[in-house]
Amino acid sequence: MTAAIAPSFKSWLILSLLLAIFAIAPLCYPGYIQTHSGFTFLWNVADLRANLGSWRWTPHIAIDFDPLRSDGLLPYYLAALLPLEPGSAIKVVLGLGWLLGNAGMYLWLRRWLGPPGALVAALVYTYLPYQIATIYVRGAWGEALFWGGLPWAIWAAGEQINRRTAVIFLSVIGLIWLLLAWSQLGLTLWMFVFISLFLGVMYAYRAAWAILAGFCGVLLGTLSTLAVATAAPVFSPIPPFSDHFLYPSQLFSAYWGFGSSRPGWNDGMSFQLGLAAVGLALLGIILWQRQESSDPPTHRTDHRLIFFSGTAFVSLLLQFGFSASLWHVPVWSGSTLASSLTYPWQLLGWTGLCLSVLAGAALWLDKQLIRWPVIGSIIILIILSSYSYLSPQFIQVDPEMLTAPQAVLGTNQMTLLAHTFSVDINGNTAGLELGPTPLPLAVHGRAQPNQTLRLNVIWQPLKPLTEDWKFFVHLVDSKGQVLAQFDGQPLAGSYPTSQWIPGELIQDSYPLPLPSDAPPGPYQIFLGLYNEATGARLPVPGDTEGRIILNVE
Amino acid sequence: MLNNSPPRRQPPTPDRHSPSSIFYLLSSILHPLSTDSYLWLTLLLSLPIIGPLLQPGYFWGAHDARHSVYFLYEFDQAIQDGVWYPRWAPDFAFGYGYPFFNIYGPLSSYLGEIFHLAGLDFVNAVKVVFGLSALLSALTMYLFVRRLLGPAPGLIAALTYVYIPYHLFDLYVRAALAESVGFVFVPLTLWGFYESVTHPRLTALLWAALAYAGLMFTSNLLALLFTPILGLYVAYILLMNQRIANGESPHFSTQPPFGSPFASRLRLHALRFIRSSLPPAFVLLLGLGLSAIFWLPAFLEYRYVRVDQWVGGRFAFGDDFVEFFQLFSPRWGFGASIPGPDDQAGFQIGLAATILFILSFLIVPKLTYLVVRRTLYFFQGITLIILFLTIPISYPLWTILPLSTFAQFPWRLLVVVAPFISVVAGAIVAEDNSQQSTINAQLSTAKSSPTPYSLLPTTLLSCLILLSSYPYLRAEVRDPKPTEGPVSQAALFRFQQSSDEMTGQTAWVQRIPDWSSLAEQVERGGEITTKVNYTALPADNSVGIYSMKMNSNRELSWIGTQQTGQSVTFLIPYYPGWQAYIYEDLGPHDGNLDEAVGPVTRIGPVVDYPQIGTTPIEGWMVVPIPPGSHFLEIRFEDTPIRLIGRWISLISLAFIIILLSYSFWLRESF
Repeated sequence: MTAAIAPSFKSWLILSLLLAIFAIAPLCYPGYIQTHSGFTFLWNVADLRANLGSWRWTPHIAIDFDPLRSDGLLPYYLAALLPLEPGSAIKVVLGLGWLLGNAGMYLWLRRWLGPPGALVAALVYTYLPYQIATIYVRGAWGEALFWGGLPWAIWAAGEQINRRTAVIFLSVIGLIWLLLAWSQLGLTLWMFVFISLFLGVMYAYRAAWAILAGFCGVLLGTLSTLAVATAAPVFSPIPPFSDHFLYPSQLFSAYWGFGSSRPGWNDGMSFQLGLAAVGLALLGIILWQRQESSDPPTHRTDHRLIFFSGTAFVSLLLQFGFSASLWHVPVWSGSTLASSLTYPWQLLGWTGLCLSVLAGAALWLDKQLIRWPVIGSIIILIILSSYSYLSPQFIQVDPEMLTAPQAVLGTNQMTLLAHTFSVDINGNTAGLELGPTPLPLAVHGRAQPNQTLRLNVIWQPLKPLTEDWKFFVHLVDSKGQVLAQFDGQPLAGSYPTSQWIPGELIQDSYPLPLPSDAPPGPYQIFLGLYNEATGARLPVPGDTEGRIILNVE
Repeated sequence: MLNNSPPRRQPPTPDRHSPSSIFYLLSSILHPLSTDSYLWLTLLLSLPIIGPLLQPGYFWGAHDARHSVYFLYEFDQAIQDGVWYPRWAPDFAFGYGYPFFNIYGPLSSYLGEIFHLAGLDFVNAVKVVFGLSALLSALTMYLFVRRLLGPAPGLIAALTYVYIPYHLFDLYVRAALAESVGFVFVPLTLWGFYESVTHPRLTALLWAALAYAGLMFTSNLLALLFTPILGLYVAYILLMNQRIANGESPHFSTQPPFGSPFASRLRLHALRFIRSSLPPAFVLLLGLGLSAIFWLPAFLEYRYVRVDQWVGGRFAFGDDFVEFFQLFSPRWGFGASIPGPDDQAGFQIGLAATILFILSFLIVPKLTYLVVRRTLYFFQGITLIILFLTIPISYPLWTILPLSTFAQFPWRLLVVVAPFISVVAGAIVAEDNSQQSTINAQLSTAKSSPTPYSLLPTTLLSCLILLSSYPYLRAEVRDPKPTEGPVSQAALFRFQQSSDEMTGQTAWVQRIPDWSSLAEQVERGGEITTKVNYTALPADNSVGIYSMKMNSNRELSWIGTQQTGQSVTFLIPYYPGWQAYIYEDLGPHDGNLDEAVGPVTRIGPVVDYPQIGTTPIEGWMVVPIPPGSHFLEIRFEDTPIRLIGRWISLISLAFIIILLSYSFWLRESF
């Protein structure tokens, strides 16, 4: 069979990549994609480009770089080195991760499952709802690159073991694991365990060199990341790990959203396994277990299928609440297993990979499925089942916002992207009273007493805000005396901060009526957030009183 | 489907019931006991497309939904006035009128008129035409691809064609009636030209000409876009056939006859090429001849309408390219195309169509029949080229090619993608794949005879094609706003004013109106009984005029003046074809008309053909009148170009009838 397939290997690979077009097409949107990461990648890539000579650079603008759980340094460096503007470079890296995953799955599985089976597995993997959410909802590019590179690590190990002589593959294995560690270190540690287990089960002592090479890569990646990150201590509070376990219903729910993971079952984003992945994997398992399957070169004790169905199951169990005690097993100087990941559901990537393998195995196990109409139907089914999720939230923004935030609040919880001032005037046209109409301060000139100065802002939350913060805006004169102030919920209370979704742009406006005896200026604005119950302000780095200070001009 | 049956070198050859014969066609379409289960399956699975049309009401908010209804409204007026081939639409531009049907394919209006005359109101007549066009497009695509690849590919191609998102966009978002009807004729035209090149037979050629004429009559855009592509296709296939005949194919000897002089070989090739070019040329000429009544005036008199209204401003093509991501985006909406990438409408190619198209690049090379394979190569290539022309990167080409003058918006080219991608999609279930294919190598044990199990994949695929477009099978049905309906002349004027649509002007108009006294009159409950501009008559009452009869394309008035150099102005912009006649007033006119007898009895022979002038700004017709008592008639008539077009069409039709009868006689005799 292998010989028959070999001549068209390139055609099938190209086909697999072409069929990923629906997944990556949104990245071609001429603008930016709103994800939980907001514009942090843009700011940090721009910063890295300005500091490419500094080997100890870590992302620091509105990001708490955690070497284990944050997106690694590799995507930043890739984007910084690409001769594109940061927005496009980031999208290229995201697309690269996706296509790598597609090609890697195909390459790894083509010998085992045959080209049609490998194609189906690659497509299921490409269109996993979790993959789509990772890129278009969370904007976790390190993780995207990691899941893109992981199949290559398995492929390289397989090639090395099968060819035995290939010393070069040992280097490739080490390099791939190094790159994986630089993409997302926490997941790398987890997946190294899984892959080593797989290689050990499949090839026993023959896999020793491949595992060792991988270990070297992981070790090098870990040490280098830690060495770079020592200058950037992690100070952000870690989200309570146990609040983010999944509920079984979420795995099969058709819900799709752009919100964040919240405590409880009512998450703002989807954690479904995917209709096609589950359906085809079940088909694969049924075909594997049926009595009359004597034709395929397999049997019920096929180690590979046992491993992938078993680890899919185990990884799923680890994401449920009843496994909480396992996650709290101490592993390293007070750290628990949970310290390796931000959320337990990050293991969905592995579950998805296993399901993809099982889905592709269906075509390996039943040759009746290897007919063009059937393959066409399966491909349509795979993409169709995820098609509606491939419509991310596109945004067009002022390029000035993409250079750097004007202010960061809390522990990188929120940023002030832009602000402008205007003055309310009584607009009237052709005798029609239009009511107060904002006129930009630059057009109107200095605000006069009895007029209403208006502060217009664009906020971008970067983490879920658990409280309903109130906003204060103080207009002060040159002596520091408060002339006017605004205190209230954002957007007139219609959209409290606890509902804000990380990454979204929120435009708000705060009126500040100038008293009749207001001095001519200059004025300053003190802007911030506070807890109504305790009076505590959300910290603002650089100001001990938790204020963003803006000059009215 | 893939099987181990021996590869066939020829496609299904025409038998006594050749696919292009009238008998075959009629039996396939009409015979209730037809044994072609795929045909019935095609029609059955196509039925959901008309689901939204079965709802009560109408999608008034769709882009051209109101246009479609009011075009029919105008067309009906002309037909009711006894004009069997309308060219002038009297209520366009707030009642001033416009030669709309002179430049717009009338077939969809004729179809709507049939249903309207049968008793349906305008809205329902339009809905029936939409529904029929959708179902018939499935049928024609099926018949074409069945001929090309077989019944199962016909089913897949037909369903792809019917449910391709742009088709649904045309039906339920744009509500573009003419273009929707055009979907019926495109496969027929492709089929016709394919037959004319590969198996030229008299009946096939005649039906091909009829199909091409149908396309010409239906949609200018489709006809203009398709004709060059058809030309390229025919040239490509002819050249490929030449290569085969010259022995350049691997299936033939590759060596020319030993010792043949180069010149004689060249002459032989040229003669062969010319000879095989004759049938498609015949089809093209006959099709053009049949439709000359429309296209000849449409093209030659197009310069007499203002085109600038439709190519600048909001119609500037540069803002309406399809962003690359949009071709693959699931976004759908009922909004308009707006500048930038955030259109409120969907411009996707279609999930199933795209996937099957991509797969076709592995499948088509395995097809054994060379002409079919090359036809599909051509279709693949043209699909890619047209898709390229829809995305912004092709902007330089748009500035060079005259595409924007008739395609208006780049996304409209997606209409051309639909048929080609659908035909190619059908290849996935083609049965004559080469047995050397990789995939078949794995199928050495697969069964070759069709079984219910083997039919299952095609059915499954069909359902998935339907399912992939199912979310888009919806229309925004709502009641008409006061600015749209219910259908009436007043509502038409309100629609024109609120939307600045159906306000086309002739080239003589300098200032585009935004309302008119005629429209105001109707809006206030009156009716338009004359288009004489009474305000332009001399204030001293030196000119008397009485409008006696007016319909959609003429007006008859009695005129009287004692002074020379007087004229009458009509609130109608000039356009070639308007003629003025001065008749002698035979009877002693006493100013009291006898309505029962009518004024006709007093109209004498024509005494003058005054030259029509125009007002400088409005372009209204100004007719000089002689001193004395006369009758003045203005009529919209055929220009010499229209007359030539009409006679060419009639002669072509007669020619086809004679040839078809001859063909029928031959069939019966032998």
